[in-house]
Amino acid sequence: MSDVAWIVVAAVVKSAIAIGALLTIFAYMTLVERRVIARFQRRVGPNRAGPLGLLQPLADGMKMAFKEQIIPTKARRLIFVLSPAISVFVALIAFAVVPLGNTTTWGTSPVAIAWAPFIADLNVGVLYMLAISSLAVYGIVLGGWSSGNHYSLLGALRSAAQMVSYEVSIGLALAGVLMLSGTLSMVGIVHAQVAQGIWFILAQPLAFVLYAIAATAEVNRAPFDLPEAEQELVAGYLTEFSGLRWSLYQMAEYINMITVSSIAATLFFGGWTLGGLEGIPGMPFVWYTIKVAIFLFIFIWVRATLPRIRYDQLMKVGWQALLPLSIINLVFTGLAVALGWPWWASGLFGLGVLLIVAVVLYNRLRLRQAMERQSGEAVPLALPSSVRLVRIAPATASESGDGVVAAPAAPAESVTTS
Amino acid sequence: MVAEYVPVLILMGLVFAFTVAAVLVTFVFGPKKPTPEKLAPYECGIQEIEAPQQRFPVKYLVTGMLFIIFDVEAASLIPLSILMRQLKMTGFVELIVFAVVLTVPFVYVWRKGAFTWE
Amino acid sequence: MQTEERATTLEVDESEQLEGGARRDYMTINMGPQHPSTHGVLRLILTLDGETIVKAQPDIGYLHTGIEKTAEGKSYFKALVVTDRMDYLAPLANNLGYSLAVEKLLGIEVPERALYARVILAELQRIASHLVWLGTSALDLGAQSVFLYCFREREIILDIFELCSGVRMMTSYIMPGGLQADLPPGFEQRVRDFLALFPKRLREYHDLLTNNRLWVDRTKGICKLPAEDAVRLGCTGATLRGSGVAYDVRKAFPYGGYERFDFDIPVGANGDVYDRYLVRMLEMDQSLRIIQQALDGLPGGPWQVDDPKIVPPPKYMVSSNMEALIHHFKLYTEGYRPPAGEVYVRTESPKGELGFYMVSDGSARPYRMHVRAPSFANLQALPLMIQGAFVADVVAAIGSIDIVLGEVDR
Repeated sequence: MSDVAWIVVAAVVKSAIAIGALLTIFAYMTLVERRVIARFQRRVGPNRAGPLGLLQPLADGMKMAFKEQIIPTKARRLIFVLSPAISVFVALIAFAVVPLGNTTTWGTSPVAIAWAPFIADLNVGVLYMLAISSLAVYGIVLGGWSSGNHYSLLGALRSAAQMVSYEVSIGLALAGVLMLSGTLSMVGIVHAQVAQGIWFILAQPLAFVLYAIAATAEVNRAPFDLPEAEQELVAGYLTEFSGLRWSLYQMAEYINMITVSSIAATLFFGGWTLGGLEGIPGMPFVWYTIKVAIFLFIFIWVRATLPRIRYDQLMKVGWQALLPLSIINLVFTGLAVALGWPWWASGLFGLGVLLIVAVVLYNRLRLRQAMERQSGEAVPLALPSSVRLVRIAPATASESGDGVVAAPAAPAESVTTS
Repeated sequence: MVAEYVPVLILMGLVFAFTVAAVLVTFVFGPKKPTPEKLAPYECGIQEIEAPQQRFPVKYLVTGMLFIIFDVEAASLIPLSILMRQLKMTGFVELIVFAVVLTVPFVYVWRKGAFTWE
Repeated sequence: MQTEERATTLEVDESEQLEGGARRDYMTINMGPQHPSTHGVLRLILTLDGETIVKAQPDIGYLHTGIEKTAEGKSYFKALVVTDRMDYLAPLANNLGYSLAVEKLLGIEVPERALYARVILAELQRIASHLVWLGTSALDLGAQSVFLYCFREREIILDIFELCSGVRMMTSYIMPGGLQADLPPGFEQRVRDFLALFPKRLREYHDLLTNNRLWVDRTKGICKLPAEDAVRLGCTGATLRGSGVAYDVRKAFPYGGYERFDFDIPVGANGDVYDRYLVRMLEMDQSLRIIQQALDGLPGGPWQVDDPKIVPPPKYMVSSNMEALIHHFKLYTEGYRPPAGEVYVRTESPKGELGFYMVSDGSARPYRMHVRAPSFANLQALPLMIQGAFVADVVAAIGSIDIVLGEVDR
C-alpha cells in the first residue's frame, strides 16, 4: 500500500480508538465522580453493579438507550433532536489535536509518524481547540431554546451569558504561553517546554490560574454550572431531554472536561513529558494520563466543595477580574520575551500578581466584616459578624402563665456576651 | 498543509456517524407511549401559565456585543504572541499598542457599567 | 391588599409598554410545586423580566392535610399525634406546644424532670431542624457536601429520639402531662457525647460556608427584609431576628422552664440571607448551652403528672390492677375533659413563634385547635424579599426563611 493509504488507514483507526476511548473514559468518569463525591460526603456511592460498581456505567448506558424519547409538543422538533448531537460532535472533534505522545514515538518514517499518538498535529492546534470548544455553547443554547420550556430557555440564556464572560480571557491567558512557545502546535508547545527545560506553569502561573477558572466555566462545571443549575432551573437546558440524548449532553460535558484538562496538561505541565522519564517506552501515555487524571479529580473536588456562583457575579468575575489580569499578564510576558529575560521573571511576576489579588480579596472580605461588626463585641469563632448576641432579661413566668396574650413587645436589654 | 487536516476530517466523519447513530438508536430502542401529560413541557408539575414567548429579554446584550469585539481583538493578538520571540522590541511595542487599544475602550465600557447583568 | 393579590393570582402581566412604542415582554413561570428547591410543594408564580423577579405570588395548599380539623375529631389524648405531622422536621417542638396548651387547659403542672427533659429534647430538636435547614439551604446554593454533613449529625439526634421513644421522627414523646416514658438509661450519656462532638462539626460548617467568598457573595445583601416589614408581616424566629428585632418567645414569654437557663439571642442587623444564616448558626451554639445546663440540672423523680386520668398507667399495672385497667380503658376510649375555656400558648419552635390556640367546650375533644404556624407567617415575607431579585436569589431566600410546607398548609 502507498503511504497515503497507510496514513488514511492510520487516521481511521486512531479516530475510532479515540472515540471509543473517550466514550469509555466518559462512562467511567461518571462512576469515578459518583464514587469520589460519595467519599467526600461520607457516603459509599454506587457499588452494587459488579465489583466496586464497575458495571454501573454499563447499566446506566443500557438503561439510557432503552428509555423513551420524549419530544414535548412545544419543542421545535428538528433542533431539539439534533442539538445534543451538536454538543457531543463538537466535544469529540476538539480532541483531535491533543498529543498523547511524541510525533516520533514509533519511528521517523512517514508511516510511523502517521501512527503517532495523536490524530493530527495541526500547526494551529491551540487555535483549533479554542475555536471548536467555543462552538460547544451552540448545542446547549439550541437545545435549551428548542425545548419549548421556560427553564430550558433560561438555562440556554445563561449558557450564552457564561460564554461571553470567560471566552475572551481564555484566549488572552493562553496567549502568554504562546509567546513562550512561539508555536500554536500542541506537539510544538511540549517540545518548547522540553527545550526550555521548564513546564510553562512555572513561567505562567497567573495564566494557568486564569485558564483554570475560565476553563471550569467553559465546561459548565461547578461552581459555574449555571445553565443546568439544578436547584434554580430544575435542570436548566437539560430539563426536557431524556434517555440517550440526555446522556449525550453529559457525554459532551465530560469529554470537554477531559479536553480542557488535556490543554492544561499540555500547555502548562509539559504534556506527555516528565523530566526525561518520557524516554521509557509506553511511559509518555502514563504521564499524560496521570496529569489529566489529577485535573479531573480537581474538577470533582471543586464540585464537592464550593457553592454555585450567580450569573451576574460570573460575568463580573470574567470581565472585571479575569480579563484585566490576563491583559496584565500578557503585557508583562511580552516584555519579558522581547527583552529575553529568563523564564522566572514572568513566573515571579505572575506569582506576585496572584499574591496581590489574594491579599486584596482577603482584605476586602475582612474589611467588610470589620465594618459590619458591632462595636467592640467578641463573637465566638471570630465570625464575620453583622450578628450580635443579645442578652434579654427573661420576663417572669407568671407574666406568661395566666393566659393573657400580651403584645409581643420585646424587652430587649442591651448587648454582649462571650 | 491541507494534508494535515485529512485525519481531522476523518475524525469528524466518524464522530458524525457516531452522533447520528446515537440519536437514531434511541428512537429505535426506546418505547413509544406518548400521553398528553408526558408530552407537555415541564412546568414543575402543573400546567404552564403561558408558553415561552418568541421574544425574550437578553439582559447581557451589550456585554454580548462587546464580547464579539474583544474576542476578535484577542484572536488577533495570538499571531503576534507567536512571533514575539522574533519581533523582540518591535513586537513588544506592537503589543503595547494593541493592549492600549484593548484597554482604553475596556475601561470606558466598564465605567459606563456595561458589565452588569442588567 | 390581601384581596387584591387574590384577585390577580392568575392574571399574567405579559408585557410593559415602554417609551417610543417599545414593549418589554415578561415571562411568567411556575416555580413549584414540583421543584427541587421550594422545600416541599410550594408554588411560586414568578413574573420575570429576564431573570429578574418583577412579581412573585406564592400559592400554597398543595400539602393541605386538615390537621387542625382532624384534631377536633380526636380526644385531647389522641390529637397529639397529628401535631407531629405539621412541622415534620421538628415534631417534638409541636408536641411541646400542644402539650403546654392542653396542660394549661387542664391547669396542671408537669414535674421537674419532665420540664428539664422537655427543654433538652426541644433544643435537640431545634438543632436537628436547623441542621436540615442548613443542609438544604446550602444545597440550594450548590454546596452539596454540607447537606450530607448536616444529615450525618442530625442522624445522631434522631438516634437519641429513637432511644427515647422508639421512633425517629414522629415521636409524640412529649405528651400532655409529661413524657410518654421516662428518659431511657444511657440517654444522658448519648446527649453528652453529642454535646462534645457537635461544636467541632459546627466549626466545620463555619469553615465551609461562613467565610467562603462564594457563599458570602451569594447571601450577603441578598433578599433583604427590613425590620418594620418583618414585624408588620408577623415574621418570627430567625427570619425576624435576622432583621435585627430581638424577639424570642423563650425570653419574651418564657414557658416550660426556659427562664431558668442562661442563654443569649443572636440578632442580625441587615435582614439579608446571610444574617438569617448566621442567626441560625449561632442559635445552635445557644441550644448547646441550654442543653448543657438542663442536663446538669436534670432531676430524678416522676416524669409524668401523678394523675391517672391524664396519663395512662404503666402497662404492668394494667394487667394486674383493676383501677389501672379502668383508667387505661377510659383514657384510650374517651379521654379526659378539660374545663370549658380557651387558651393560647406560644412557644419558640425552630421556625419561629409556634402558637396553639385551643378552645374547650368541656367535652373530651377540642372544640377548635388553631395553630399559629411560624412558617406560614414567614412565607408571607417571601414576595417582598424576592421583589427585584434574581431567580438564583429566590432559592436563597426560600432557604433562608426555613419554611416547612406541612406547617404552612396544616
